Amino acid sequence: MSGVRDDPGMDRTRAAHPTATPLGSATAAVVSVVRRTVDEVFEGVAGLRRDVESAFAGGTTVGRDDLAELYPTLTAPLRMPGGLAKGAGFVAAPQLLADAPWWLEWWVREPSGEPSRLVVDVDPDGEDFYDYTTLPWYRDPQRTGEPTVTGPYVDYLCTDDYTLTFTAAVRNGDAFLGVVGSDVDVGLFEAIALPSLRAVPCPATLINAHGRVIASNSPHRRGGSLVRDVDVDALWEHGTVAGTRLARCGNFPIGLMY
Amino acid sequence: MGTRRFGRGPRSALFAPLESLSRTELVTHRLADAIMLGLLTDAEQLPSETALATGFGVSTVTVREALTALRQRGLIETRRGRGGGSFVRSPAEDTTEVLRERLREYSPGTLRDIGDHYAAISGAAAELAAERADRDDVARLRSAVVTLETAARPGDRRRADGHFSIEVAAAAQSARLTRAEMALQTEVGPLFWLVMEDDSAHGLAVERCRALTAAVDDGDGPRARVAAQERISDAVGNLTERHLELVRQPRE
Repeated sequence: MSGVRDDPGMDRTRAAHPTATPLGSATAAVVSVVRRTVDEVFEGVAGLRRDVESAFAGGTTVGRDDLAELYPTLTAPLRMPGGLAKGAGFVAAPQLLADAPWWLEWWVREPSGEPSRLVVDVDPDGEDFYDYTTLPWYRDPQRTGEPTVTGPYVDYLCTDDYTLTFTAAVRNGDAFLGVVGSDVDVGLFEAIALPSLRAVPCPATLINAHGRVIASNSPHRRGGSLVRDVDVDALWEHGTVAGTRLARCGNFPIGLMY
Repeated sequence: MGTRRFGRGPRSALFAPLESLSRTELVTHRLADAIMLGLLTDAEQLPSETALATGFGVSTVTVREALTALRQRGLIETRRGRGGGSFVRSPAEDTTEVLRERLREYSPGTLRDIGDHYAAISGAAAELAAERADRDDVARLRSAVVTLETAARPGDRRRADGHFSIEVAAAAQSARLTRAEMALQTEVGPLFWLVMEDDSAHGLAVERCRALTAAVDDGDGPRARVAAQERISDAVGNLTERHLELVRQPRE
């Protein structure tokens, strides 16, 4: 932590002479909370992926009605009381379904308990149509084949909320069928991470790969803003830059900067 | 009358089944959009209530409510008896006429006030976008500018222009500003997009959007705000001129 005093903008005075153990265990606790949360969401996503893949495994034509049969499993994460997901579902690759060239089978949590289907303009000639294949939550798992965390971002395609989206590619052999995923409200994610963040005895901030702030124990790091006073690319690459460290929270682009 | 004649081309999606949770508003929006976009033309007879209900996959009660809403908006008229039914009232060519009529009713002062509100929202969104946009956000803004630039038909230009503004608000990372932008587009968007039928106004809008994107890319908030405000100011200027032109002409 030699460089902390070179950063007058941040209140790091309490971190000037930390004993390694309290700081280390406090940051490890944050990482563990984030990992557990992310794992829980991806567990639900993996379940969705298995169900959608088996629906397409038969090789017969699949239409919207067949997806409707997936309703119980697609909405399972949204029925769990106190569950993290506020939205979940399957987004089909263009021209995949027999009766709808573009389709989102996406459901959102409702206060009443019964999830409702999100109605999006999927008519390419429609006023509100949007080509979702260009959006990161669709494009990135398609490109990499890896589960992806997108955000925080304003989800203007669906709920217009500030959102973290967890998606995974759905495949049938080599064929890419689309993505399954879950949305988590950034505010909820923040609330889950905050108690452990507050136990860290120096400014500590959860950021994504772009250096966008997800949650922080410092009022100087506002949610949604970009970290610009630290070289975030270098931080992700080397794990430490000028006394600022980054602890990765698993294999996902969420890191704890402190 | 059946729905068969709606079964081809871009209109086929128009009468495709709606989702199980569809509501009166959805049916209303779908039909209103189709009328505004000219997919349904003037004097065209709509399918019967039963056929619409089957086509949309909703109850006849829902269809009846939607038709009432469309009638109240003057988009259809219903004739009773033999040869009766619901008929489209606003052909695509006349959509611009409807907007012109609306523009005639706004005073220059009202236009100025709408512009002030719009400039406040989009200016703030642009300034924050410059502070907060990451590489992906900037890439999406650039691609939205290209879409706007290559859009030839007024409808495509309108849609591209709307998307660009929503991308800016989303790049600001503000859900509230994004919703405010969307609400303004719903309220006064069609009027503002009237200017898009004019090629030189379209060219100017593309220039402003490009300048805004460059400012966001440079992280220059004040410049981004100015570009966003100038964009609104251009449109208000254009609309005010049109308004004055309209009130100079005698009403029929």
